[in-house]
Amino acid sequence: LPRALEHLKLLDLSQSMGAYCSKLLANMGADVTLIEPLQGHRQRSEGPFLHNQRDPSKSLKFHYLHADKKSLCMDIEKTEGKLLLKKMFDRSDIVIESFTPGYLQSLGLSYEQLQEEYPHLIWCSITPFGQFGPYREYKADDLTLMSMGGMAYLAGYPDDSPLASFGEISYYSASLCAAVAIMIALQNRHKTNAGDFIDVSIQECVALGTETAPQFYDLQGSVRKRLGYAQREPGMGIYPCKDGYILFYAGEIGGGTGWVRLVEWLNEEEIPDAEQLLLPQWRDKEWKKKEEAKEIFYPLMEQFTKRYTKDELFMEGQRRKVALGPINHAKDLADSVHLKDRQFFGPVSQIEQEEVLGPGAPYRLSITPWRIEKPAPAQGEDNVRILQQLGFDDQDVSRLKEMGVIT
Amino acid sequence: VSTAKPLEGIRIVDFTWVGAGSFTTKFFADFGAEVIKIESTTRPDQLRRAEPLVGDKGLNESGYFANRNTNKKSITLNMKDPRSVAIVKELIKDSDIVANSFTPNTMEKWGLGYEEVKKVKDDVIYLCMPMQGTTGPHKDFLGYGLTINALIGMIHMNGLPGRPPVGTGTNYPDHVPNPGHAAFAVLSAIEYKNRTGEGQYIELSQVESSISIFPEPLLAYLNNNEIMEAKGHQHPTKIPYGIYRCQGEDRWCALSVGNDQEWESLCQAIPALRNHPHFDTIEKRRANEKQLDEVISKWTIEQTAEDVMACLQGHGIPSGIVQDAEDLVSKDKNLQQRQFWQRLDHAVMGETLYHGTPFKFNKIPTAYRQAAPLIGQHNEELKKWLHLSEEDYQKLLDDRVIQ
Repeated sequence: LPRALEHLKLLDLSQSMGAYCSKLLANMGADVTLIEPLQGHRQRSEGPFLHNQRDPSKSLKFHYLHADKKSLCMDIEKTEGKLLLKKMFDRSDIVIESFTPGYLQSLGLSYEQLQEEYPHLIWCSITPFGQFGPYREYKADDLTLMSMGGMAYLAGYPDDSPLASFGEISYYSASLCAAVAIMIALQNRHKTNAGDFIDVSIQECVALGTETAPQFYDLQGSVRKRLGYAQREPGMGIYPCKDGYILFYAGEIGGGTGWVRLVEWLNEEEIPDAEQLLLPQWRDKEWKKKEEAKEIFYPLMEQFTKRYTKDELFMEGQRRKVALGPINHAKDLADSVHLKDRQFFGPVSQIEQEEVLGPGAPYRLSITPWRIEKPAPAQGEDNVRILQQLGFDDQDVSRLKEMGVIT
Repeated sequence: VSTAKPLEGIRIVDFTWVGAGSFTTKFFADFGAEVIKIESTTRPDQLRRAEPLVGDKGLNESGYFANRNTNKKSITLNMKDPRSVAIVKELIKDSDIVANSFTPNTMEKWGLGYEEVKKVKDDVIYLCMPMQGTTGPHKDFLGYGLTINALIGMIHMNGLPGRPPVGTGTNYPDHVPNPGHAAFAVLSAIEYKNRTGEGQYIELSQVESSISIFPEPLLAYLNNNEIMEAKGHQHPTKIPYGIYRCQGEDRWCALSVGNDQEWESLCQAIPALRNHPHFDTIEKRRANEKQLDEVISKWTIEQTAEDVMACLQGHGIPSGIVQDAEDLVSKDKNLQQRQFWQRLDHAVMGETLYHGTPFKFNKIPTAYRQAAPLIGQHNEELKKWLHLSEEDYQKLLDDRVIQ
């Protein structure tokens, strides 16, 4: 089967921030080479690890993110390293990097310095605050970016601190936006024959996730706060059930689906005092926003949800066309009959003789399907092959090794 | 100033609605594609009535809808009338992409499933992005970004031990993961079509696309049989790592220390940490984490979040204000200088605020051209697109085919 991006070559110098970006292109067929620093890619030392063995060859996260890529382990600061990297630029279409603005310039390797030599390159920088602006050199990680981008403020318990999500989702957001931007620049390259420089700000990618909080502030002057697990309005919130929690999103017009059907359901279940929910007042948006309404509703709902498991509620709610979802954990997902039927989980890489299992295709293309063709590389696995392709002979390779330019 | 529109010449017949789908086609509209939203006045996009609203009656007053539909066109058709289906097919003949985010079979009922569409447009790129995909026992299930958050384990993983989980508090999958994946998939298909002339069918399950960017709990379970639980702000190697209360009402600053050098710098910034016998090794800092957080909080609470960040950044420590909407829109100097926020004049809402694109190019402008369309604003263009006479157009209006 053909691959949509098999004609493209990408160099990834981005470490964590752009790892998912190059994965997206790799799994569509692009030839992706990780430029790993001599001490190895940062994510090799990040968990979870296979069988919880803290061994850089056993990071499940690294294997998930870097299957289908090659590894060239080298020192880009040495003169010979710079020359080698430039040879790589010459044969690449796309470069992604996440260095602090100014660093590459100090090495003579910035886009600005090289664009005339490599005018075809699409160069994508993914940095915390972008290439220009007063915060461009600020130190940051996922936690501080989720904070500065505004997502953390919207999450957490009202009686505790705001909460930055688990899972480095700021880096995933940035990687997705970067991949889209690269494809847009590529379309422009077809038209103009010229590459481009892309400046992705992770803070701004996080800010896309603030939903309508900025528009509420702009249009109504209100600052949206975190609600925790409390109800946004009756029928929209997290409720306890027999074996965990369930999220209902049973609103009406303009948010959620199924309020009227939820009220019917509660009455069919003969929840005491649920008849009052049939009164016209309970279809009035203004009333439903009031604390009083939420306080009347919650105990009725809790009595109901606690009778059932999250899966029972989910199945029956979906049958009734009420928007709701169980608060699943990983085992629930692994056991999901739906995801099994679709064979979503499967091998994504290999560690020694063991298959690494993980999430599969995020989309299914009929002619050029997503797929993984080879496991994540060992550190520097492709050093020799790549150097040979560039025209280096065995002597050159040994010399570069001795000089500490490659491993 | 460049006026490059990289996606100019591409036309999308766009049936997507609500959160994720609309944001997907927005990428295309913003970079020059002609995106024609097919809407209905009897069953309008829910977001047209979603808060924040400028008024309280019409379908043209939602800040939620506006923010996701810049640079698009809107026509309103009664899809139950076969003449509407014929109109859509005519549009598709001159288009490249057909997109929808309905539950499965909606398009098929209208005779606009992939196979039918292919008959009028052989090389079409056809995107469908229902919540759970088009196959499998739960394919007809309905949901929103928040219910996807629940389904994929993102709510479970966010909270404090012993308390109900809270998640991200938003419909996060609608904002980046699903539109990002969908746009990338369509752009990849375009790239393939550029080379081969071939179109294709793309199915995106919003649940699966969202799990792809939240893999760690699944990797731990599928390979190690381990169920991860929410632990608040806990990092396997960084400490201190958290969000600390500052002076003022609900003001906070995040900070994160990932190595010895940063710890030394933190000790320079916060004198009470210096030479403290409980904190002088990373093991002790972990064992005495609660006390460590208390000492830091005592220092942060005396200062504004702005001052805390300035001081810590001055010492080279990753730190950042927990910014609220007001900070983002009217205080953040970086976002201001980068002109992230954009304001557009909308025929009913007036000048309002839009999230900008989170990336900039040297050669491609990112300033939006037009505010979101009014419902049916571009109906008259059907005359041009379909070469309709005035009488034919009027008849379609009179018959409520065009609404």
